Amino acid sequence: MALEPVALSLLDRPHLPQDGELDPANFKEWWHFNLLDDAYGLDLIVNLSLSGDITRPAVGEANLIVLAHEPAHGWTGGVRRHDGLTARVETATFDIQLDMVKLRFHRDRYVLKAESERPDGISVDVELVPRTEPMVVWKNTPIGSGHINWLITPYLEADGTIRVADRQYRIAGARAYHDHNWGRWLWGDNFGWDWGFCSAAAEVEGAPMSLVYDRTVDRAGHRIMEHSLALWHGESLLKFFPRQQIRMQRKGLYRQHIRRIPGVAGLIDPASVATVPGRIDIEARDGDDWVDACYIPDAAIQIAIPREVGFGLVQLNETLGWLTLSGSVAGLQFAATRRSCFEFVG
Amino acid sequence: MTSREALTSACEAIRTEFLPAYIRLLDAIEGLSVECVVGDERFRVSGSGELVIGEIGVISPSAHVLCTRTAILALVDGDMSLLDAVKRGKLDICGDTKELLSLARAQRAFAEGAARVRQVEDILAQYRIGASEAS
Repeated sequence: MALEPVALSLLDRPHLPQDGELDPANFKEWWHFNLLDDAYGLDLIVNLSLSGDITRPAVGEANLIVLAHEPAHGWTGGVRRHDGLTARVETATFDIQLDMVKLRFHRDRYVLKAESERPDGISVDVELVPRTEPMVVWKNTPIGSGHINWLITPYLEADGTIRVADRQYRIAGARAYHDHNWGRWLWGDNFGWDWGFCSAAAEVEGAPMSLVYDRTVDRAGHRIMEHSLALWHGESLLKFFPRQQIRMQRKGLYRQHIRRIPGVAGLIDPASVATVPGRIDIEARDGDDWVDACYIPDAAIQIAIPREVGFGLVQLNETLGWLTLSGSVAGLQFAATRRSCFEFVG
Repeated sequence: MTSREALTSACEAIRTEFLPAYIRLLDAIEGLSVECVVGDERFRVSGSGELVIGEIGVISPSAHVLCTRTAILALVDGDMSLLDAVKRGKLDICGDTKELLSLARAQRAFAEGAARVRQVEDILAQYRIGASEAS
């Protein structure tokens, strides 16, 4: 990879509040990993988040989400919450230990180890090697009264083992995605977002084409703060379509039952989840460059986060499905349908 | 940990850590006297200026709730909705419409608090141990 691993290691370090900084309570940061294993049809989500002041007891949190989706068994996993003080966080690189979980960047790869104490839980022991340069959006993008920053590595290759209940999977060369968000905001403020990716969506002239989509909006979805579609070819960013060059349309409603986690969310809002589209169409145009993409989810789960502003819940809808992609960018033509992941937040 | 102990501890944690939900819970439960039967346990939840979780008294309750520890855990874990629990006979709630609406508001306020207070997860973990020992 053109970018030295040590540079990625530094870029992906924590951005914890400094001593004396105002409002450490609004601080939030997470490292997110998706793994799409085409051989088994297994999809994995690992997200480790820090929030508030994690240097003092009982005021900050360190939380871990581990979710797996298997075609024959559906969703397994959930959210584990911890006092922030229990997290062992290296400040100069990505290296965090939390309970029976250890996530870190070591040499040229991410190493994720998560042991579940429950026999019906998920254990993960995988290594993910970045196959693209990251993109960093470090400009304090506004969300509600706060702001967010973003580091994206759209394609990594994953190897290792994953156990879901009593089912063991040996993973070899699975497609994976990683991002890292940090900033200050309040859940429940007036914002939402759509975000999605397809790692190694197509093989074009001997190199993988990967895609990341993002749209940051107000809660109602009327006002767009940021809208982009980025494509990587091989290791490098090939094309970035900004908001003026993109159109997105939601169509219909995802009709299957959507489980909420944590389960107590169902006692706060017993209504069925009705905020996941049945399909989204994305068009990007810039002169001779064009991309058409259609995403249809076939699995969804909701991570419900209590609002920090008033009562109620913020809905983080994680979906998996199929992205059909075609286009021509910089003279490279592509067409493919591949497993993909989109998130709808509001 | 008994259901009564778990409820008492959770309400106290919510009062300490997320007062807005506790105030909403108090407001909803005010004037109600609910007899709770969870398996072999019987206790009373009532509101009269403060939340009281105590023994069954001599005064007739204004509402009844009947369920099991297993059903409570299924509700908390999202494995069963309130509506499904009633339909499947896992949860009985009896009372006048007005009181049932107040009880529903109280339940929601409690859940809003429980979702925000991490200590409640520890209480729930203890309650699970009791539930597995009881079954």
